[in-house]
Amino acid sequence: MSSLHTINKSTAHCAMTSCMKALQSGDSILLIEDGVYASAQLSQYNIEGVSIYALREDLLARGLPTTQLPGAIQAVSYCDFVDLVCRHQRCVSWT
Amino acid sequence: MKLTVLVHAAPYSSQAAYSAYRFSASALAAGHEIYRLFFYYDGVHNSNSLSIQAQDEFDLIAAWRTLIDTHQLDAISCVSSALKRGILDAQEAARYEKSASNLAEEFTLSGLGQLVEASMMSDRVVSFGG
Amino acid sequence: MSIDNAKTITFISRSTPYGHGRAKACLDMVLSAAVFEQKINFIFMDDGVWQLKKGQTPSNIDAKDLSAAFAALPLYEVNDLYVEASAIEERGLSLDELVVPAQAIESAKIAELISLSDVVFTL
Repeated sequence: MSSLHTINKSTAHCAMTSCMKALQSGDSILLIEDGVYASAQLSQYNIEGVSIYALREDLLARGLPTTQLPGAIQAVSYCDFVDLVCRHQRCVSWT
Repeated sequence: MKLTVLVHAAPYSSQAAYSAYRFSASALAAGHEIYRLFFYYDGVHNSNSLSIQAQDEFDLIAAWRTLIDTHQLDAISCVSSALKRGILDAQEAARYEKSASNLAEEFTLSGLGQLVEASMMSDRVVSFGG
Repeated sequence: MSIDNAKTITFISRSTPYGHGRAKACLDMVLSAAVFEQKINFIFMDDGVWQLKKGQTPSNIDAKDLSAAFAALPLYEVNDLYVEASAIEERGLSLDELVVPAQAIESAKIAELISLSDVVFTL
């Protein structure tokens, strides 16, 4: 019963570390808003079995790359965001 | 799917309310149903009809109003959050003898029970805030 | 509302009690869900554990005593209170210093509670 976790803060806030504690294998993380700044640092966490996505519009807005992201992070659209919500049993927002 | 969207951030102070708007519009475009939009805590500022934007800035409140109207969405601002923040409909303005009301007409004031009920009736609840 | 469609709703409260309004907002959500007879998990993570500390006198800052409201949770059949064990330790708190009995849980248990929930609210 997998969960989609959204994170909307950079790593200066504890949203990221709190989210890491609550993950299970099969879950997904979607970085939105300032959460996309964490795309570079996410590889330091041990999150096996968790897919990581970042919202394309928020990456572009901040001058961050949308291709060849570190740690196999995939850039996704708002439409994909909706699909991710539907594909997981619940959505948890870490702020 | 039947979705409920919870917004607990004010417009403009952070990006969260805008994200909620884009998500909601995308969900509707993809053919999903939005069972309810629930504005809680600072999120009630999204229903203030007296907010004025600079002409070259995105008018999020106008965008919400159009989205709600076009899709005939059930949009609720939490009544206790709203009263504290000076968001009143005509009925509350009269009850508390205030000189004006400002709740955008596309929104309804109601209690947190509407969020709980929406949680029970929806396939997914997505929250935006912070 | 019929209890037949009761859902498991998990609330994760991560904010201090008086510095801003999120803790009170989260508690109000919990109480509303309890009125609808939902199955409720109430988890305190990070700075949220400060909400439960004994000895608060918020009258000094003209604020309502949030901790007093927690004592009333059992009356609403909200009995599943959890605190993040590491959050308690990191802040030099102990379970004896909390206003209500709460179960200290490790992060794996938090993940499990989420995985068993229909809806999760974080505030």
